[in-house]
Amino acid sequence: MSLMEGLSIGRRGLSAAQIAIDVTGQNISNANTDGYSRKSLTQVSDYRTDGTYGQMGFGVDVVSVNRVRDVFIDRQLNSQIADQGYTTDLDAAYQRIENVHQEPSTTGLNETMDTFWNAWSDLSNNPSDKSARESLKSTAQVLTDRFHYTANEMTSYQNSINDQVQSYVGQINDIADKISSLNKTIVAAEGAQNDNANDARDQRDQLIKQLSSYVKIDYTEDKSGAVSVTASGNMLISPQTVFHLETTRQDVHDASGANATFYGVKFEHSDTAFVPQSGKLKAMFDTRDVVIPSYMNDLNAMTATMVKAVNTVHESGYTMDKTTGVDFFDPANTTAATISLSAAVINDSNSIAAAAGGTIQSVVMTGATVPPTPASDANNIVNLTSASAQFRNLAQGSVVVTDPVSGTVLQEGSSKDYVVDYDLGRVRIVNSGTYPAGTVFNINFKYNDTGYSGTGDGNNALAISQVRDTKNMNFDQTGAATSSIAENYAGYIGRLGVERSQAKSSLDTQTALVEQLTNQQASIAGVNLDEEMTNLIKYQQSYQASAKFISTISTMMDVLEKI
Amino acid sequence: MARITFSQSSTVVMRQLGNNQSLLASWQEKLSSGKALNRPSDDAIGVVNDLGLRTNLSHRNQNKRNDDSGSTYLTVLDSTLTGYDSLFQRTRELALEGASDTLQPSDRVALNNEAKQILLQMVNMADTSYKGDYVFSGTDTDKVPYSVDSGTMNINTVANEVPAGGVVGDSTDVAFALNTPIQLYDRNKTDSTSTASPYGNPEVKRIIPDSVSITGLTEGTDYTVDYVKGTISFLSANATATATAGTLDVKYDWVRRNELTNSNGNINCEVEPGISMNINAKADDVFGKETDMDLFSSVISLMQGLHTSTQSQIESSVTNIDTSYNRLLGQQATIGARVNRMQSTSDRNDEDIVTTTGLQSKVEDLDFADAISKYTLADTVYQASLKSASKILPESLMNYL
Repeated sequence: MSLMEGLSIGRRGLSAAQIAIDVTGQNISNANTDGYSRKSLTQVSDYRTDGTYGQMGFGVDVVSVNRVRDVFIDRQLNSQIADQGYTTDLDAAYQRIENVHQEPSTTGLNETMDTFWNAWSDLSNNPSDKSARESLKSTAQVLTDRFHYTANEMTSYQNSINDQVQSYVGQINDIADKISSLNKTIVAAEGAQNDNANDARDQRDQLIKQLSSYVKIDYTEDKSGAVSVTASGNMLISPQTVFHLETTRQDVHDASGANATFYGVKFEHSDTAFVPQSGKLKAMFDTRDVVIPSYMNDLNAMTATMVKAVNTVHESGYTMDKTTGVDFFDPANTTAATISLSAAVINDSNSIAAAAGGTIQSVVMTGATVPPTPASDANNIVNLTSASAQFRNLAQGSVVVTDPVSGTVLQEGSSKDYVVDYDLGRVRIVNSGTYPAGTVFNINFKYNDTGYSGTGDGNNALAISQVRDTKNMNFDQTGAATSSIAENYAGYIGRLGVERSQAKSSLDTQTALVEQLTNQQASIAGVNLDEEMTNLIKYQQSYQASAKFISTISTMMDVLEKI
Repeated sequence: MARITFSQSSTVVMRQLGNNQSLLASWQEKLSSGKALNRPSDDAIGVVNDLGLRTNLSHRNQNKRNDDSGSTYLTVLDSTLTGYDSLFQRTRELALEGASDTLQPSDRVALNNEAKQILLQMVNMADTSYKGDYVFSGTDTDKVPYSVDSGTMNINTVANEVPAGGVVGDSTDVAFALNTPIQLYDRNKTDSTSTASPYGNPEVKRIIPDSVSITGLTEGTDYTVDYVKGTISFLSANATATATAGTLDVKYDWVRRNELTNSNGNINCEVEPGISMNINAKADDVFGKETDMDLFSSVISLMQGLHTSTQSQIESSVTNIDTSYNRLLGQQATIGARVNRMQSTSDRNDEDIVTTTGLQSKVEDLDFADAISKYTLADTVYQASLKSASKILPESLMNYL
């Protein structure tokens, strides 16, 4: 045992204290770094075997610097983060849908529909009043605009969600690349140099956490320190490779029923489709493919019922111009995105049928079977009333004339084949070159079995205003309708409210879980500045003590040298 | 002992501040909008109820508007019919006066002149319109129910003589016959559905006595007129001669009942959700059907009695006038009953509006006392969390080293 040995012990003490102070400094500076785990020092007392005394202390040895972290909590946390990501985006989607509907308010669909029915009631009070007709027409336009607005907002939201899918896939690939490159760093560091790649591991844990918010993943770490990540049973990152995802374009019907190109997700180098199990990406798919379409379908069912119910009554009535069989809504446009007034009503509010008629009856009149033969007479006029006095008051545009010999359907129009006197039930053949007197035709037409009921009659408008209370939606097992359009809409909004509340409460639950676990991890891995300050003092003291020890040895050596 | 780290306490503080702030914001939103329901997820069941109540309220308010519009209409009818009271009164007086034995034919002519003014006033009132719509025309409100028209008819010995250049159906005359009532037709109108007269011309009825003139002929000696039925009987050789010469032109004024297809059309008004009420009075019900002795016919029958100074006819016309009056009074009673019904539905609508508004307010509106106390509580909690954060966060060992 020599004094030189004492110097060596002192030096090792100094160096250990220095390392400890460095570690403390690192902990202090990263106190606010996301994903940073606090580092701790493992020191052992070193020894040598002395012939006389056996084991002799040989100072201190810094064995390793370790991360303090509970990886089990990380696993739990990552799985909850995926669900939190899912519920966050789903709740945001419901919130957006709620905002689109603006209920309850004085501008929402509910109020707009009420105003629409009221306008019919007003018209029934003043059927001959042009201003009541114009007011109804503009109210109806406000209604269709409101439906369009709702449908367009939903569709454009659906499209923005679709874009989001692409951006999420890009981010997933990006994160996967970073994890993979950290895998390599860690394997290199820990394998060859036998170091603890603490900070790289911190970063990798952080990235795995980020990845979890997009998709639910499973991961395992092999002996070399590399992690393999799988999602939905497919390998996303292997120790060697990254399997990139890519978006594919698939043609589907969007919420408004139009063709749209939505993104699907698959692996870049195979045909395997990627179906996320949770996380933000799944929320995007669910919102785009399930939530929005289900609301749009309900809305479309409502507009379709509205168009049909109003038109059925409207057709049976008479317009100010004494025509019957006129549509109020364009029967071809039944979705919320397309619902519109019929061309006749757009052109002239007099085409609104306020006056009551009877029932619209369909007649198929074939030349062979219905006497008298509906052949044209010398004036080229087929008089339908000669078959039955009732065959007048024809529904607008309902007359279809066919030539039974050639099967040709004749064209209506003064410069074409025939014109119709809808009031008197007469078809005049103008194309007498092709169809001379005596030609036999098949004629299909619809007529109103009750005549015009006068300009002062508002009973049809009254009947339409009462469609508001007609049960015509949500059929039960017996096929009976159980709710009116307004009741159906209230149910629709109710469903939105319930689903949003559910989304919100599961978001709250999920957020609380994530916070709890984050807290647990922070309690273990987080930096406590007080602790670090204490350590700093401790290591500073120990540094000073080691220095003092060396100076003492030095003094002792001086003493020896003076001898 | 669990470690507490700086990031832990800062996360907890941030979360609590965030929670408290969002609670505060939600109360703030409710207080500033005054609504407990601002979006469906605030209370899904509440919003469904609320939408239902809103719809109900909107419907009831519309019914109230309908009630107002219907009431005004009924008032117009009622006041019009009330206007007939004094006219009937006077007509009856004229009849009683005219039936008196002591009266000379010239006195009766004077009474007839007054009766004529009354008749014209009655026709005028039957054409009452409200906002441009004739109220007694059923649903053909753009057409006048009655009008006083002038007509001419040539009575010729050659029946149905077709004028030069005309086609069958254009003839302007009827066949002459002596001592047989000849029906007059309205040459200006054709009614395709009528089979009452040749070529679809409606019969002329209710001719105004003293308006008939035939050049060269004298009423009483050459011809007599049944003013109610619109027939002329020729009595003298003079008449035959005039007819043979082709110059027998009858000029007359008459009260025409216009051809209205929908004179019995109902004007309905939705007074309560799903309940509608007929509000118009139809000419047939108020003034009588053409086939019966209607109001105008009964006055004309009196006028004929006065004009021809026939006491018995004057006496018998009183019955008809009374029948017409009772018919009109019956309608007036019906309208009165409708006004009452309208009033009671209007009251019911009002009641329902009050109840529904109350319910809606309960569902939708904020309980301010409750909200403010909760807001204050939320504010206090928020302040406390701010205060405690400001105390806890700066604490560190470093402050003491």
